[in-house]
Formats: sequence, C-alpha cells, structure tokens
Amino acid sequence: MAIAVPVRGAHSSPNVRKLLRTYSFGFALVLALALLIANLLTQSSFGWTEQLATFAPLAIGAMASTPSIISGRGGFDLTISPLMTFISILFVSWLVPAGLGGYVAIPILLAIGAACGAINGLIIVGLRVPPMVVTLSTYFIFIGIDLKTTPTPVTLQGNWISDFGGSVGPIPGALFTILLPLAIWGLLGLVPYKRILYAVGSNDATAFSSGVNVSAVRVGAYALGGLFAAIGGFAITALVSSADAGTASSYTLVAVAAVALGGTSLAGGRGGVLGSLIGAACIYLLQSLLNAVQINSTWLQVMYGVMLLIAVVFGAALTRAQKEAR
Amino acid sequence: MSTVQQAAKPPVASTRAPGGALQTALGLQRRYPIMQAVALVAVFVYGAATLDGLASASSIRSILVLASLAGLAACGQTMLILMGGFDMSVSGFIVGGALVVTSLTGKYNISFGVALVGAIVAAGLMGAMAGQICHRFEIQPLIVTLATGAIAVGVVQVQTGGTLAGSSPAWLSRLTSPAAKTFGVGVPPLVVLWVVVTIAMSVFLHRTVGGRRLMATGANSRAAEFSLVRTRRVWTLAFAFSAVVAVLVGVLLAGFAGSVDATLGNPYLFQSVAAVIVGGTVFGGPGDYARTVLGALFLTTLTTVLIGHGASAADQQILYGAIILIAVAVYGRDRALRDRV
Repeated sequence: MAIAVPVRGAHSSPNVRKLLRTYSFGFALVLALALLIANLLTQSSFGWTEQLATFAPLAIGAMASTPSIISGRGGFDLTISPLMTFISILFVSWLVPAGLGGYVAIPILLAIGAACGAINGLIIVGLRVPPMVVTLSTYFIFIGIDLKTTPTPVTLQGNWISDFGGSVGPIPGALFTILLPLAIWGLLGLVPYKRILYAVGSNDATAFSSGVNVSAVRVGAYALGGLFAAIGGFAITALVSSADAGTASSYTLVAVAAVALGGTSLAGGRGGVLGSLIGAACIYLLQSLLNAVQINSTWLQVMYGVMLLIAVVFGAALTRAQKEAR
Repeated sequence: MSTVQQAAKPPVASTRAPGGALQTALGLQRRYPIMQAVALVAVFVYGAATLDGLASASSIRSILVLASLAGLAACGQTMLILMGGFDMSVSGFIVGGALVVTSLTGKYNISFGVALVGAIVAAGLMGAMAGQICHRFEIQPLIVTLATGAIAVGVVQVQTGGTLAGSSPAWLSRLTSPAAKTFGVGVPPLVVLWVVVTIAMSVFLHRTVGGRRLMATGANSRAAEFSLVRTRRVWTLAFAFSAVVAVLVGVLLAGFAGSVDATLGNPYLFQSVAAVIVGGTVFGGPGDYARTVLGALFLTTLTTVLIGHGASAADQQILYGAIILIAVAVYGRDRALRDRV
C-alpha cells in the first residue's frame, strides 16, 4: 500500500527545513565548500598561510559582532571594526614604545577590548536607548580616537605578533587568532551563560520573569564582543604589520554581512559564532574568486552589499517560515 | 482621516508630581527645544567673544551655508527617524549623486538634466527597495541601508573607474557659494532654498494627510495599521524620499566642494543623525523638522567655533558621538524591562 507523502512547500521540504533549523549555517557551509573548491581549481597557488592571515580580521570581526546580535532587542555593535583598529593602535603606538610589546600585551589588550565592549553594553542598558544609536555614537567616537591618535600609519617591525600573520612552526599563525574566539565561545557552553544569553535574545521579558538578570547578560554579550574584537586587533596588526586608522571602518559592512549569511537571526536568540565564521568564509572565498578572475575591485563593495541584503532576506524568510510551521 | 490626525498628536507632558519649577521646565523642554536655542546662542556668543571675525557678515553667511547643507542632508533622516526608521545610506547616496553629475556627465556625454533624472530615479528605486525589505522582513533599517549605501556608491564608482575627474557646472557652484546673492539680496541662494524646504517639510509633516500617516506609523505602527494607514507604503515612500534627497544634496555638495571624492559624504552621515537627535526628535516621534534645523545650526556653529580654536576633524567626530549620546539620554529612553513584562 503506497502512502502519499504530503509535500508542504514547493521548494523546501520539511526535512530540509528541519535540517536548516538545527544547523542554521547549513546554507553558508554548502556555499563555502563550493566556493573553496572553485578557488582551488582556479588558483593553482592557493597559499594557505597568507590566505588565512588575510581572512582572519574579517572572520574575527564577524564572530565579534555575533554575541551582541544574539542578545536581541535590536542588539547590534557597530563599533567592532573601529575597536579592532583601536586595539591595534594601542599595541603599536603605545604598548610597544612603552616596553610592553611582549606577551604581556595580550592580557592587557584583551582586558581593554572587553572593557570597551562592556562600556557600550552599560550605556545601552543604563540609558535604555536603542543599541544601534548608542553604538553609532561610540562608532563615531572610536573612529575619531583612531584618527586622532594615528593620523599616519605607524609601522611595526620584528615583533612576535607577525607570527600570527605568518606561521608558527608548520601551522599557519592565523589559525590561532581565528580559533581562539571559537574556543572561548565553545567553553562558554560549559557554564549556563550561553543558554541564558539565547533565552534573553529570544524573549527578554520572559527571561526577566524567570529571574534572569537581563541587563547583566546583555552587558556580558557586548563585553564578549569587545574581547573578540581585541583578538581581531591582533589579527589586523599581524596582517599589515602596522597600525592604520584607515582600517577603522573597513570591516563594518562585511562583518554584518557574514553574520547574517551565517544564519544568525538579526532579531536575536538564534545562531552562533561558528555560523559567522562560515559566513565570513563564504564572503572571503567569493572575494578571492572574483580577484582571481580579475574583476574590478570596486565591485567588491557592491558585492558585500548585495550579499548582506540576500542573507538578511533569506534569513528572515526562513525564520518566518518556521514560525508559521509551528 | 481625523482619527489618524489625532493619533499622531505628540503626547502632552504629564506633570504627575505636584508642581515644582523643575517639572514645569522639563515639560516645556519636552515641548519646545529651549535648551538647544539657548545652547546655540551661548556657543555663538562665546565664539564671537573669543574669535575675531566670527560675528562678521561673511562668516555668518558661511556658517549658514554649511548648516544648510547639513540640514538638507538631515531632511530624509528626520522623516525616517520620526517614522521609526533610520538611514545609514545617506553618505553613499550623497557620493553617488555628486559623482553622477560631475564624472558621468563627461564620461557618457549626457546632459546634466538627464544624469540628474537618472540618478533620482535610481536612488528612488533603491530607497523604495530598502523600505520594502525593512518592513516586509522586519529587519533593522540600519543594516539594510548599510547595504544599499554601499551598493549605491560602489555602482557609481565602478562607472567612474576610480578616477574622480570632472567638475560641476558653474551655475551650481554659484548657487552654493556663501558669497552669492539671491536676486540682489545678500543672502546665499542655498540658505533661501533651505528656508523654503523647511517650510515645505513643516507643512507636510503637520498639515497634510501624508505627514500625519507618517507620524502615526512612527507613534504606533499597529495602531496606524488599524486606522487604515498602509504602513508598508509609508515605509517604502519615506525611504525612497530619503535616498532622493541624499542624491540632491550630493549634487549641491559637488557644486559647493568643487572636487568630489569617495569620502565626500562621510561627514554628512553623522551630521544628519546628530542634527536630528540633538534637535530632540525621538525615534518614532514626536519631533519635527524645525528641531532638526535648530540642531543643524547648533552643530555647525559649534564646529566652526571649535575649528577656530584648533580642533581637528577627528575631534569633531568624537564630539558628535558624545553629543548624540547626551541627546538620546535626555530624550529617547525606552521603558524599563520590568514595565514591559
């Protein structure tokens, strides 16, 4: 006896939908793999070390933007890109001349990054103002500080940090900076914080009623983003061996595009850092493919914009389909 | 449409606490931009006292022209913020508009008028698309306009091939020059244009059905929907308007600045946001364009005075960020979470 299987959607069967619900970055993962193969086929010399070093700031910028977006209620941190540059400037033009250029700089800068993120978070929950307004203001402030402290790029020579742009033994150094945020995010899964963060992102009023200190969780999300941005600051410094205020707003657009592409819902409560990493990989690989076929580099900006639009529309449509299916 | 008109009236400041001069002052401040006016006068007087020639006619004229550019750039932003939206694409469309009339007219050998109409139509369509996407998929306008702004400036830059040659027509430079006169009167034409736009915006926002629908959408989107306001159409048209205005400001800026590069629009993004918020217009209303005018005048005067005292562009940016933060802290506070449960 044949049983007719009801097909609900014309284009997305329930199985695919269920798979995408569990692994919201599934689409990005498939795209990234396809692009990687295309890249390997078109470019005979795909140097992993350099490629990863160029990829690192973008990847970390995307991962740093993720926690604040997950925290919900329009949560969003525009300051990630200028903050990454700020950390790089702090290291090159302040810590190194002050004799703190060794490994001691790592905890100092990570703490400063987290503190900067926490300040954003504190202003947001303290003043009860939409996050985008607050981070837009602090975005202006950070870019201003970057420009003021480093009007011209400062070069850095012979420092341990350049290992992160090259290789540590046989391992590409950029792997360390890329995997560190991922590891921190993974370790957070061992404590209740991450679960609570998702609860707050899904519905802050419910979380509040359940006794969650919503404000503290939100501030924590921004601080975490700041911490990741500090790691991104190392990656930028390693890549360009200098501190340049010109990079202050370079990663703003791509980072959000990567987050959206990686399946993190801009409404909060869904997604994760791994998705953002994969989303960033998609953008980076597409960019590298376009370079390989020698497309005018000014198209890149257009491409970022188009990818961001497609990703947010796709993500929102998917979320809506799930809500209706429920 | 009388229901809509009533729905959009700004809430009258409630004076629950018994009396007190402070309460009255706060209530007045909420209704009229008193602080801003006082601050404007204070900054100007301070500048005139400490800087030579600030109070001269020529420097007042140039302050007015700069304020006009900032105020006109904030036109669309005012409308969107009143509606609960936001436009991050201002700088992108300004650069796009400026490049189209300076470089593309030469490259494709088309007349100024054709280029302008083409740019307006393209910007209108892109803005409308942004509004549609924001409303239909409930995505933060900041993110969508970040994308459309990048697309706009990118597409135009690809056409010009990175080289930014070309110049604006001579009449455009005359129109935007602070030294120019309007029909023999010593007021720059751009300032006259700004006054006309201010009146038109105020009439539109407060005296027409369209303006009331916009305010109603900002005040409470669901309630507006129940009052038969098609909020999606409002969003679409408002975003299209904002993009078109930004292109027109770009054209004016091309005349004012003479040369155009890709960073031309950047200061106007934060000036437009700062002017609206400092003026005291809140996300979703209440507010009006007259407040933005005051905000633009205040910010331009402050900038001029600070530059006179040796401040750099970076200082200006830091200051604007700080001023926006202070202004939203005064005006735009959300309800506490415990009141939303």
